[in-house]
Amino acid sequence: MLWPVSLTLAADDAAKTDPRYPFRTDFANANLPWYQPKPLEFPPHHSDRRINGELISADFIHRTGQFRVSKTGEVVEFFMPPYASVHFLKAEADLRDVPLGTDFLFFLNDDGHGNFTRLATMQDQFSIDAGHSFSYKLDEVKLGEGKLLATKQSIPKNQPDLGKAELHVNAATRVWKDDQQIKLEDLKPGDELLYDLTGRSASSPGVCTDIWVGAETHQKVTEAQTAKFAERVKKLGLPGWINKTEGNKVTVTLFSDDVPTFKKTYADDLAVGKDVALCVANEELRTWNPPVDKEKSSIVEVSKVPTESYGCSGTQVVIQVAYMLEGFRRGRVVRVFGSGWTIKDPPYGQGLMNYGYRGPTNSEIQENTAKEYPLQYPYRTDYGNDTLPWFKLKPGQKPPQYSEHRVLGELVKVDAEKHTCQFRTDRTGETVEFTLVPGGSVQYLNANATLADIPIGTRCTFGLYQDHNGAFSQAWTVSDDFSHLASQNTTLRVTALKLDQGRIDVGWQLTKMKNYNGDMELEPDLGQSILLVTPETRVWKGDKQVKLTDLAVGDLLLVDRTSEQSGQPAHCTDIWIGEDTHKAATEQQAKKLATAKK
Amino acid sequence: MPLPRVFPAVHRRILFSLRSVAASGLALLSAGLSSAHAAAQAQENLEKIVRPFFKENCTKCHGEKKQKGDLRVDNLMIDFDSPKIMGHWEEIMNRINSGDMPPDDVDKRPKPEDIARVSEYIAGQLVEADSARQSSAGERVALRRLTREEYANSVHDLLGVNFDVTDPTGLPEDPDWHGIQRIGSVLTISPAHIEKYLAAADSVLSEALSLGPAPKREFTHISAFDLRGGGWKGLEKEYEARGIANQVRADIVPNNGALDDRTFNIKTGGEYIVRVKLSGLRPPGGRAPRLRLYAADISRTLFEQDIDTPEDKPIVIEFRTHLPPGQHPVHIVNSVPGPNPEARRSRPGPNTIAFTSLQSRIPWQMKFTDDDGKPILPFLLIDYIEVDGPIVDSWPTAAHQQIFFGGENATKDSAYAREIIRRFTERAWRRPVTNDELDRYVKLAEKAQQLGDNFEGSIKTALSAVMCAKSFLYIEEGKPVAPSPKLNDYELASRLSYFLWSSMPDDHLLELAHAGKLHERETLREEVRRMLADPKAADFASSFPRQWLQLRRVGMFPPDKVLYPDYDEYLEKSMINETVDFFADVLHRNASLREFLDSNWTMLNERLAKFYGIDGVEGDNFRRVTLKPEDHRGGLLTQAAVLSLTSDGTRHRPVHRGVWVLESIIGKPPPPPPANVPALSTPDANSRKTTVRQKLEAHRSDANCAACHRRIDPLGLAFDNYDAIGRWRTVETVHAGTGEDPKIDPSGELYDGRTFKDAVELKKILLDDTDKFANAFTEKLATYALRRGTTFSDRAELRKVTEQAKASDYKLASLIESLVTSDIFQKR
Repeated sequence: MLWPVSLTLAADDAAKTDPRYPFRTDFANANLPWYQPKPLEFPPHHSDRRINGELISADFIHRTGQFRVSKTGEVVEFFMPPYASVHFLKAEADLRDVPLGTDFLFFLNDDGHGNFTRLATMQDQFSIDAGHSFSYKLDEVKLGEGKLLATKQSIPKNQPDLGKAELHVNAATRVWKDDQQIKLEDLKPGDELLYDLTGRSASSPGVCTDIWVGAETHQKVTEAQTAKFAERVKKLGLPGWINKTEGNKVTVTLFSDDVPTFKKTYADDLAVGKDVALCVANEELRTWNPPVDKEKSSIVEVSKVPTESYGCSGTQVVIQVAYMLEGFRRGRVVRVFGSGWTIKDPPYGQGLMNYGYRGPTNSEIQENTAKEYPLQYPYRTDYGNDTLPWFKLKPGQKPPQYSEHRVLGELVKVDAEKHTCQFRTDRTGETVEFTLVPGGSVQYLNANATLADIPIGTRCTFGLYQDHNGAFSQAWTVSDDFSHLASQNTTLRVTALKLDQGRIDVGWQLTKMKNYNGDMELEPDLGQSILLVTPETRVWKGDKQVKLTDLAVGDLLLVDRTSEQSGQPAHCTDIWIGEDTHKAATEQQAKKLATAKK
Repeated sequence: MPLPRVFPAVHRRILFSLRSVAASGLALLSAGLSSAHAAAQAQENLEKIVRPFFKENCTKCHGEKKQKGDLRVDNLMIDFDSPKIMGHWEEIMNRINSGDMPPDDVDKRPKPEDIARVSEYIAGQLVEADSARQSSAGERVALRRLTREEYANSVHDLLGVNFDVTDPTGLPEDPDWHGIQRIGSVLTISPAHIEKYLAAADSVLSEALSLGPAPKREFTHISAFDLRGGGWKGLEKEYEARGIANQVRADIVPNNGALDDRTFNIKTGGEYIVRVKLSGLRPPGGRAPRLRLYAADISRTLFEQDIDTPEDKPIVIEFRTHLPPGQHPVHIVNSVPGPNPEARRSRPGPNTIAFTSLQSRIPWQMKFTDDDGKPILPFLLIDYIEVDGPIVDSWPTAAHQQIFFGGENATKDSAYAREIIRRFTERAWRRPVTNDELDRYVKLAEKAQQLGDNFEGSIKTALSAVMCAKSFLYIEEGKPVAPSPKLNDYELASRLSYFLWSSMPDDHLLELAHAGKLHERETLREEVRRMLADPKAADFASSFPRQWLQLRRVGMFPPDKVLYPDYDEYLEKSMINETVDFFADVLHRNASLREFLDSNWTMLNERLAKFYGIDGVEGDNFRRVTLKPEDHRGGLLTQAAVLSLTSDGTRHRPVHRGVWVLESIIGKPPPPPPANVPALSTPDANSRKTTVRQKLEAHRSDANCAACHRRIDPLGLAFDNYDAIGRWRTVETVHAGTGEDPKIDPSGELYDGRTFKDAVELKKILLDDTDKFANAFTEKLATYALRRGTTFSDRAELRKVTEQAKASDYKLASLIESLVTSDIFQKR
């Protein structure tokens, strides 16, 4: 189900009061606070702020991402709470399904700290228009000017002229009709269009990435995306949260932001008397080891719940289980597998147990105990325990897990003699003075290094502790992006080269590892992001510097980059192509340090 | 064909009694005459009941003219001394009971009541014969071995050492005779005993004597990391760095068996203090978790207790236990019954985490608490276990200082050695020793010194031999050189002490014996009062009811886990404790024996109270609880231990219950069942469900069975409202057959015609017969005290004891006083 989108806000509207909402909205109640998320409550419609932006990064595993705000160019990070959804091509989608650079309207709630990072949903232009039964009747094709002139319409509502629209196209714009890609030149006046955009900014309306021609095509792509999403859900289980437990009964409200499709797809599986399997999951909708964890159960009650909110499927089921598990607890997330659905372990990284996998691992996609079991940490962490103080570093003692505060920033100054160093924080641009704590470590190019080895201007991850004044100025670890990626056995695989836009699209690829059967296996990408390059970006292959144009789709990269600053998007300073190059760079740094020590 | 030797054994008894009269004077005259009267009565009954029956039914084939099967019964007499003749009597009883005799082809079958009377008579004579065999009153010297509990108590009182007799390194279990475990004639000694006694003496003396440097007291702290080992152990440093290592706890689920164990490494045997810091979470309305520490290698429960404390308020439990040296794998068990939830999903997670709080449990593990944080199953959270010891109160030990009385500066010569050995031996043997006796041990010490032992070591060798001598291991009564029908004062001291304390006499008793005053009635009366007030009397309060009521049979056939899932070891112990504590309470209050038959109170702990459906009792400890009629309890007969000891593990057995009542309460054991009695039939699956009673009634329709069962069954059927483990019920759960479970009918008619509608009314009848019960009880008490069966010759004296107690409404302590001050108690 899609809901009306407030497209533009008049200044007067914000001052209006709307008694339907007890919180501030984009269009009214400016004197009220924004809606604050509550446990087991789906955020009501209009409880969010809506920001238009282009998706530049997506972490599939943790369901987080970044977008660049169309109006300001700033980068906003978002995370998806369990119920949050992606609408793409008027169907529910996974972040994996969404092309980088696509323009979305992001519906964001306050994350409790005054930041609008908590995603309720996101919609591409296709979904927004189709959701309102809008389409665009092509009036005139002006390819020479890179324009398509059209009239916005609503055929079901018999509204033939809702205003004129100018769609911008370029050579990269793809046009789709039925199952075929056609040429821009094939477009004819009268065609009924829907489109997605990229590159929208304060100064640009954006360019169509894709245009879909004809109502049948629109329906087909929606159906295809719907089927793709349903197929994934049936592999991973229907997510929902537990409202209540009573004896061996678990009441679960299932997540979906497309109520009609949800009903159509799952009504048969979710009927009273049906056998299901219930699996514990975390807030990222990740399960541990479903073939083993699954609790055989049956549905004893199905009821409707209100859907005037984001993420609620409108369906609540009461499931009777044989054994009550710790994860079957009010407020926790579970996944429900319908009868006959194949229950398998998800690919490496998507699950939390990764049972049977052997080989180099990525600690950041393993179960994060600070997040899952916060009480195991008697101090504040980056993942929880907000009310506790941070861990105080003790001289001569290795700090415990998750005790550091990790901050991204660009190295600004290193004065080894005076032991004063500075970095500028990513995005916020704050200058932080820091010292490297005795016993702490510096990694550059995935080898031990000194701070002086890291070129000024390189973005690093700083593992920080508070000093006596409470300032995070004590660095225990410093590592550049190269080291960070390499230590996680991850490379960036080139998926698209758009050098004319100074852009490289990459997928986050794990090193091959042995699966349960002992076979080497390449796992699905963990995420994707856009790397920006400038003419100054150095590219290395072997021990030689090469050109950006020497890059090819499929290359495995490690990179270092600058930090993201207002008006200065982060860009790559260096790119190393291929695993041999990565290895050589590491060896060279290691050699350099050894020589320096001698 | 020679006839069976017929010898009127009763005459032997009479002759013995007369000898006794001559020896003991007038005090025993009446007893002797009474015995004679009893013997005469037996003879009269033989003539009156048995002979006419034989004449009518048997002598045609087994008489003067014809002796089928070489058996002649017309002149068969009772001879307790002849196993062969008594065997004939038993065979006759069995044959007529089973209906084999007279054979089917006779014209007229005997009446069931006649069969019953004859059987009863023969059974009575067989019991007498058996009792006579257990009684060694006719022997010049009676040697009655200490039971293993008495051995342990004696060792403790002698040397201050706790010797663990039930450990595999302890002593073999003692046999019993009709429940009584201290009957001299059945307490034999096997080669295994000898080895064990030698080892025990050495072990006990090693611990008691300070022959080397003081044992190093060691302190072992077993953290939750240690308990869980494996992946947890590797986390210890990390958790220390986090500052929460002290919050890590081992979560222990019900019925965890040997999942959690830890080896106690004991270098030096001795007393150890064990401390356990833990919480125990109890589900609302459910049972508390129960901590049990079980040392598997010595088959010993070191400690057991319900734990009921919140997660954030752990307690420290501390107990002392005696541990032999060695590596003892100790199971740390939550012994509440129920499915072990960790049987599923006990795997660690992808990241091992140690338990720190209930909010930090792995999501796929079984749920311990509901959404409001209330426990949904009983579980334990153990912070640590500490083992501290050996605990030595002083060094040298008190025992060492007492034995080596001269101290460090004493001259370690043979005179000193002799005096040490003499003092020890007199204490150990509970009597003065002669020089001849002493010489053997002094020589032994000298020999040991010649072989290289130092002075103390040689003494230890001698003392070890003293502890393996018959005078220590046996209670000796009588002297071969000067036989006497009466105990001397030292013998009396031992009899009294082992009766009321299950241990050796203390100094005071021995002093009274030495002064020759102990046998005086007033002295004895004072001593009984003093001894019953002593904590050591707890041994009597526990040991006697266990033996009298045969409580060792409780759980002998473990109840079926499917039929009785609620039954567990703790319930079983609680059942026994109720009965034992009930007895102790009657004893301490010097209340009437009537309370054994019925009472408006009992002793309960939470476990048993819940089992009985009685609210308001919490915790492990037993306390006196007032009963209401709707509780359906009161007195011994409706206690779960008594009701369940006769069950076969699957169902109650009314006949066995009846037999038990006849034996333990009425004192008239019925004849044993004939051979080849068919089992109760299992009804056709299509027939209506029937109670055990209904099946028994079918069984009783056989005339040969009916006679005995008329006496036995009503006494058992009266308790049909209680199932095999003593739960109250109104219908009998029947698995085979159709229809509803049938209602219970506990009514009945006694042999003498009195009727009752249920157990409550039967108890009233039994209360009307308190005199009979008192007689039966006194006989059991005497058997326990005298360590032998009682016979015709004792009965009159015992009646006097009972009659004396009747004046005080059969108060228990008074009855004990009467027994101890009676002539029979001083008689050999």
